[in-house]
Amino acid sequence: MWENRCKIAVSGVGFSKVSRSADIPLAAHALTAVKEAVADSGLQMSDIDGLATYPELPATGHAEIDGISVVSVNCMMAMLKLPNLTWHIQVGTTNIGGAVQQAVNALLAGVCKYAVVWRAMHNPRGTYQNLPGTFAHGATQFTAPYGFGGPGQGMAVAYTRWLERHNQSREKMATLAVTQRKHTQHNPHAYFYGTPLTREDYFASRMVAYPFCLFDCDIPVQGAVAIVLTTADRARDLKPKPAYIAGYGQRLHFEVAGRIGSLSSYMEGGSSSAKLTWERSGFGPKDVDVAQIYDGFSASVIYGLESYGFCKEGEALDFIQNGRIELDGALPLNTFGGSLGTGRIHGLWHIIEGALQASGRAGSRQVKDANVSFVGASAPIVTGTTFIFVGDPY
Amino acid sequence: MSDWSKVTRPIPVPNEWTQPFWDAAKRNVLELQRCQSCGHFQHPPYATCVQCMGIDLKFEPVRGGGAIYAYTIMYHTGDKRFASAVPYASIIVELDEAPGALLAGNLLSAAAWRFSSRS
Repeated sequence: MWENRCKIAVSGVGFSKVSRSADIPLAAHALTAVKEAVADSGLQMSDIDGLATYPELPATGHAEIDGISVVSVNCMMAMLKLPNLTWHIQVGTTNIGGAVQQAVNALLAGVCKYAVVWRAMHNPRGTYQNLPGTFAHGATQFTAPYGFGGPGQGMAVAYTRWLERHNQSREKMATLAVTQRKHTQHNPHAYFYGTPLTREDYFASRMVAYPFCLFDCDIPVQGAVAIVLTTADRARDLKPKPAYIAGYGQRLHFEVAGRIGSLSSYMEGGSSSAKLTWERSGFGPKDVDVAQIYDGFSASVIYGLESYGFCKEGEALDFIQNGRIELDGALPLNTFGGSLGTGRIHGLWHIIEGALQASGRAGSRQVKDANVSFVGASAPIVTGTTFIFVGDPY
Repeated sequence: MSDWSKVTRPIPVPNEWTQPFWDAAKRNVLELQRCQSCGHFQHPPYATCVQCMGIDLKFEPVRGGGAIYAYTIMYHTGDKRFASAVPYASIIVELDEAPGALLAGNLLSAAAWRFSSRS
């Protein structure tokens, strides 16, 4: 087991408003979320001495403008003017989960005391995947000419392969979409708070990239979320009950870009990451009381459940049926609504919910007696960061 | 069926790894990158062999027959250049002579088609 388990904790969380329009600049959203996370901890802004993020806008063909379409570490540094700043990082290959993990590492190394991590996501004008120009460069030269545009199609082809190989039907995914939307009704920050979804809605919705219909895809939104991390002893001096990090993992497998459709990329990415988390924490899938699994596209949940070890390959669509993923089920899943409920804010919201559930702070959607709280913070093919939070340190 | 006549496909920009593929295509020949150390075919082309890390890679001709490895049907006009063809089938093909090489394409027409159950 990891000797540094439960030495770092999440001590506060914050959210900006989530909306479709980009009326106020993204930097303002990020600032709101960060301020709220600091206040939630019971800290002053001047206590913050560590900054970390993953800033990329995962949409094609839009200019990267700091403060407008992304919020970098430099942008946050300029806004906050922290008097005691001693550490910062902006990650590249590991998505936002990696920024959280680097903050854990920095705190363990003693180079900062209170680190804030944010994820700010922009909803650009026009179509989200805005494929520009006449030419297809790099890996896209073999895919864009055939109408493969954004990640949706790449995930769609893998999903058809999964469905055919395991003789499954996409209709079963209605249970995921509907149950997560039910969870969303306990999450006032979510985009679809107040908007129910029925099985009939799912079956009647328009197809986007078969097998994905509209409700298999998260809706692009403008918004930001943030967390504060600190050492366990400092966390215990603060107001909220800490959510201790019992272990974390990173994807240890990568397939060359452009090789879309391959399921092995998901399975090996997810299992290699989760293996680290299980070994470090000493827990296994059967010990998990509540799980958040990245769901930018619904099929990501399948690859997550299978590659992380919650069920066997090919079984995930059956595994989620019969109330298993409800708040009072055997494995409550995406209890905050997931990206499908909140809108596209990527994995930091999954991490936030994992922490809230572990520390008993999830309000009306709190899973009873939840202690071991698992998070898969991005699709296994992308970055595959995984975490376990606990409320009871050990 | 999709109307491809009005579609303007993005034009591939070859780089030093991929140039031989497109040169062969101009001669109407399908050539894929093959590691001369372990014999592994790979597509898309890469700087090294993804199986054995070999750097002796040459393009060899292969027959175009294969199986549909995966597919999607696009109903959404994400890329406006493809608007007239919506809904259209984008497919991934695994070639019989080059397992492990996955090629993207469009299914332009088919009397009937069956999905490959090869893993």
